[in-house]
Amino acid sequence: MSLNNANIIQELSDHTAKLIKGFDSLNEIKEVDIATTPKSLVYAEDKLKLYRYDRETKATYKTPVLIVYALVNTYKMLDLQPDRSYVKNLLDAGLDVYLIDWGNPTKIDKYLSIDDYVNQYIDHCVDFVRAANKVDKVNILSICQGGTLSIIYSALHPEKVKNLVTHVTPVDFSGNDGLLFRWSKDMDFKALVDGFNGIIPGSFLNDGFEMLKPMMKFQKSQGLMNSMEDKTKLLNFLRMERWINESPDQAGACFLQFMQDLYQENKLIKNELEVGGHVVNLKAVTMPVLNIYASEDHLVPPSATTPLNDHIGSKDNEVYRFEGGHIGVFVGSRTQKELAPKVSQWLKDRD
Amino acid sequence: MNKTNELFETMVENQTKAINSFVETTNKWQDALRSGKAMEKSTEIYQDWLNNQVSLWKNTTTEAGNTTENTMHTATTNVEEFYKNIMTTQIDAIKKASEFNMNLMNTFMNFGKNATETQHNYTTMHNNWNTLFESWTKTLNSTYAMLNKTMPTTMNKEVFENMFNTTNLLTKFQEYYTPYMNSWKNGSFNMDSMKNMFDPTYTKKLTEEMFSTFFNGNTWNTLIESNTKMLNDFFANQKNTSKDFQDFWNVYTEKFPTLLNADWTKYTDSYKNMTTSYTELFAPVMKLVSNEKEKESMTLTLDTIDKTTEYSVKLAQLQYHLYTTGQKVSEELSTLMMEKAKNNDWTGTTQTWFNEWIKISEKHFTTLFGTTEFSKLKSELLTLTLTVKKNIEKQFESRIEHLPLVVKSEIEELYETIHQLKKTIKTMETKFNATTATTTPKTTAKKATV
Repeated sequence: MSLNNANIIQELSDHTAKLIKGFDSLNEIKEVDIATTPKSLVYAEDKLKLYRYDRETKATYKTPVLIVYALVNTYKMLDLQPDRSYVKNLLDAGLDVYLIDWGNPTKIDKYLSIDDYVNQYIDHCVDFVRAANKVDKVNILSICQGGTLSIIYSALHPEKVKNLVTHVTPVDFSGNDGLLFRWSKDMDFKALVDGFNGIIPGSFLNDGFEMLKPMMKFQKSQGLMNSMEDKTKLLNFLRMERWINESPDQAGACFLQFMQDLYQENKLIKNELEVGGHVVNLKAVTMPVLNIYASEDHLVPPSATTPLNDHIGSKDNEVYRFEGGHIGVFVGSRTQKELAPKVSQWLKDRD
Repeated sequence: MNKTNELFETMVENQTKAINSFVETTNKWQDALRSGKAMEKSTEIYQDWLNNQVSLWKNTTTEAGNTTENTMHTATTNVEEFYKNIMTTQIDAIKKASEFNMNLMNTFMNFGKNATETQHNYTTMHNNWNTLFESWTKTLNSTYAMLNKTMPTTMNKEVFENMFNTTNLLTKFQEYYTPYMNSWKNGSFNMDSMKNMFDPTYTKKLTEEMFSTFFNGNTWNTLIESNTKMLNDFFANQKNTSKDFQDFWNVYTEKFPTLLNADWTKYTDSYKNMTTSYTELFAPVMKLVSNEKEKESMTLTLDTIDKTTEYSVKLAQLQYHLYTTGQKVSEELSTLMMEKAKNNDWTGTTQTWFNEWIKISEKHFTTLFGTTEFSKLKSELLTLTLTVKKNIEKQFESRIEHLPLVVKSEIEELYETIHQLKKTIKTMETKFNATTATTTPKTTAKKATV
């Protein structure tokens, strides 16, 4: 097609036709299901829920896995749909999988700090899993900020952690790679938390994330418009959108401490972070560590993730590079064949 | 297809007319009050004003309907000048609003016991004007809203909204680049023709479409409304201080700076000098106020006025950066197009070019977002917004404190106490379990209420 007015009008007309088709298709979809792998609630504390995924066969690993997700967004991205489910892949590999669902903080939770999340919530879940399986230690498999919290936990309670796997986890916040790191240097987080009365809305965080790639929503919409007639593709898209939109609010105290002590003052990597009256010393992380990072991560750049292995006390530690973005690590098609096998094998070798 | 440009111009023009109309109407009010004919004149004044507003908005749609396709002749090659003019229009509007406030102060000063009535009528007029403006903007979006209301879920609505906005963007993009493509066809495309055709209005619209969060059409409107309301409330209670404040406003509006080559330093310095004068002016007044609550309320009000004005300045600055970056995108894309034209390459569709434009936009805007200036501005704007929000909340609390209601600040103490208590109990529970249990801790599975 070459450029002329008639073609331009035809193009616009085609585009509008797709929009109408999009309207029809979207109207037909009443519900979008995600995180459908069966699981059972085994423990609860305040708004936290600890789930154990149902297994059809006995686990082939001695040590159970506890998944610690970030406080930002929900764990459901790990189990987006049956053919793109990191959780399902871990189960298929023979692991006994537990997962923490942090829930959605409300005003009464505004004073929850890193200490509460690490030394109470995570610790109580770890104790539960240990007792339920009659083991002294558990494997922790952590994602993004959940990884940062898990590293802090592992430094404070190394006796309870057998192996630690971190995915796209920020530990060194000194650089300005990535807009999130850049902007956080100038933000007045105290005013932010005060302004929001101690609970940071999930929608506020979503708006910020959207600005990291300002044209992304137009690119997504364009791509979607070309696949409106493929119901499978449309549902796949909507599942991801659902996950993106289900963004829980953040407890102000923890948010403030995380942003000030880590993003602005980089205390963790300098062994200056204080949690629950104890200084977190990364050298106390002595269990085997697998540190996975994404090569094209615009949210947590590699420069923020890879330094972990140089600062921990573990003799057995590995940095694993995954080609892809922050979310692509978990939901991409390559992931299904690469990531879970890598992690499960690594854990098997250390079970 | 070129109605957007004319609509914008008409909208700006009508906003200015609307403000002038306000000022004019206020003068009529004052005359009516002075002559003691407020009651008999009020209906006539109000009706005149309302008819004027209606005709302003009718003109908007009529002029849009009469637009011809040939709007490119209004293009200016000096893009910076264009954007500066937009900023100046906004600042002018704020200045006019300040003048309006000053007139209102006159009313309070001279007619103390009628101040409440005047305030009430002013508020009514202002609300009506807001309603007209809002229904106009609603009309523009009614087609989309009509389609969207049948969507089954909020998420589907948002997905459709994004697709709609993308189509909107594509349409504007086509609108913008069609003349270029026409000139390719007839062989007249070159650098000079590109410059002549370049209309920054379109880039402006594209930029606003992309970053709607920063271009809320009601921003300055909200500023004036909240600014004026606070002044009204403040001076309704402080009749004796109004004269001093009026004197100050005279000085302020005379020295209100015009935009000088987008020199934000000069502008900000000038504003800082104003706030210093502001504070010094009110120092003796504050000393006279013995009631602590009243003093707190006055302080908050002044702080809020200060912050909302500072916000409008910084927002204009941020918008300026977004506009000029949008400009860079257009220039780079146009250069790319010209290269293709030189090679007689007519392939590609507007979709292709739209995709190219998206790619170039991503590059330039992420570069802008990564600059220290943008990062600081964004942070300052956020802090200002939230500070004003807190101030308004505090003011609201102080107004209702005599009612049997629990306010936010009182609940704060409760939340903190509850948190400490829970923490203490859990710590005690853990210690208790550790001392009384066997080697494995207890495994109580509490069923959560879902």
